[in-house]
Amino acid sequence: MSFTVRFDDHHQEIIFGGVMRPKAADELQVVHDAVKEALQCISGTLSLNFKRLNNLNNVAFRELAAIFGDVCEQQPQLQLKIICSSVVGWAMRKFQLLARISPNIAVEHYDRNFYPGQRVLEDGSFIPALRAQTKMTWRHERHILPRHGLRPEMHVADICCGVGDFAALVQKEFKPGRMLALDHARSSLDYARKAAAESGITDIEYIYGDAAALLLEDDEFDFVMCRHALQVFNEPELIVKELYRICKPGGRVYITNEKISECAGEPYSESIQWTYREVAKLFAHFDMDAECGPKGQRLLQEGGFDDLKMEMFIVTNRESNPRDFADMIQAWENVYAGKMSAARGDSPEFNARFRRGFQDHMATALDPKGYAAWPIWVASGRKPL
Amino acid sequence: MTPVPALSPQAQPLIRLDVDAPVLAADWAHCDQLANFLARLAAFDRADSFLYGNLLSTVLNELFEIVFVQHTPPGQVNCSLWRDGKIDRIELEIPADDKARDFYLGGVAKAQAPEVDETYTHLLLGEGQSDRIVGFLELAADYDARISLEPFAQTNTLRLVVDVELEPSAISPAQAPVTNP
Repeated sequence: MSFTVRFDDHHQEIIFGGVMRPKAADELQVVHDAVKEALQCISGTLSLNFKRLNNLNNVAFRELAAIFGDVCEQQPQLQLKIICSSVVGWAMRKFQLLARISPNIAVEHYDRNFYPGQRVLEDGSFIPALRAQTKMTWRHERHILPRHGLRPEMHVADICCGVGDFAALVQKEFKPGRMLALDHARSSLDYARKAAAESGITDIEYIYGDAAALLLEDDEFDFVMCRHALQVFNEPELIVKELYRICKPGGRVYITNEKISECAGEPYSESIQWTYREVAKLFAHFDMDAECGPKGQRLLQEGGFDDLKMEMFIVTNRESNPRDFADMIQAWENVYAGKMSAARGDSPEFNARFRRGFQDHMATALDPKGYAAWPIWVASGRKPL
Repeated sequence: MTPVPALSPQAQPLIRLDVDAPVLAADWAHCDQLANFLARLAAFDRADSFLYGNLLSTVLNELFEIVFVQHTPPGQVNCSLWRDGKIDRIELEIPADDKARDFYLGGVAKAQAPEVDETYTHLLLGEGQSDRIVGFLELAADYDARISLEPFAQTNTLRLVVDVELEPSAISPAQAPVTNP
């Protein structure tokens, strides 16, 4: 049995992790100690963070219930907030029981709404955009990936895999020894599994998970990819920390992100530029950073990586299929000028102008004399040995 | 006692593990280790191997913890996993004398009783002594498991069978048409 219990006074929370399956309650003295320490210095609300607790047996649950019950009785002014994750299948149903002990105990399903853009990005409406994007970037990234260290037989993780098509392409092209693809959008994973099954792909593990609190082991993968994802989280450094943790020493983490305001087109350049600057502001409104691309190297450096590599590539309508390019912009318009714009409460006048830029970008993509561009920044770093 | 439901002709055996009862009982950590080992093997082809494996490990661990405390050596504990459509079957053969048999009969009966939710909550949150049957109750109350028991008097063994559905049933169809990469 190996578990950790730690009080974090900065966040007023006790963090539980690992596997808590004791034979007897007296093996949980460390929980008593952490609660005692917490009670000496907190007021208001004490959070009990179970996001990383993989397993818990009934012996431990009974003891936790007794401890928390005592706290509620002795300190009726204190609120206890139980935080658990939907990634751990048993946790929600089990911890809900604790709310019956006292009205001072609340149970929070933290990842139901854990990053600001989640509702927009995880409901399935973004799937066409994700598919179109992969189609466009793969022709570049298949040549870029080896420069950043991807080799056959490596154990590879694609964190925030979206609809899983990139993982499938990597699987086909690079023949990794293991391929794990993880995402927090059930709609995307359903799609990924269905597509894989229909292609006869059986050797990709599609996993439901939270990139900011992965339940994967330390030092598990040679090559960890995280594409177009740091830009949609409000705390990308938390994800970088997890990418670092699951990467083997000597292995590499590979990230890609956009700087959306750099999207360009000719003709209609003014309208296009205006719209993409507004996309950047729209993302910022939801605490996402669509301008993240050039910050990749700094994020990795601050995350502890060395041997940093950075490059940029541009997807255009000249080297790609113009129809694919236009389909991708259409998918963006549908999401950005659709749900996201509505969620921000944009006026019809603004929305019409906002849509105009996407439509102009599509027109430039389909115009035989037009030029449409979408730049992507790639960064990778090595986890020191 | 409840007769064990028959499996369909399509049911597939997945894994069988036989362990000497004294070996299992030599170390409490064996429950966790065996539960995780079996769950990982059984999870390899599941839609979400982590989620499924984690749930199966939880179920198996509770059963192994019960067997750890309630069995009568010598003899073997045999654990078989079967898959029958959406149902996973866990079958345990346990060496048991009359006292152990009474424990299992009592536990399974409570797990099948209509008030299983209340009993389960009371045992978990109440102040009395812990009771090992809470594992059975959890399987029935939280996982909607069907638990059956067959004692074999001649061999002093019990056959405990748990049928449970662990794959998330609400896998919604993706909204976009599937195109292979």
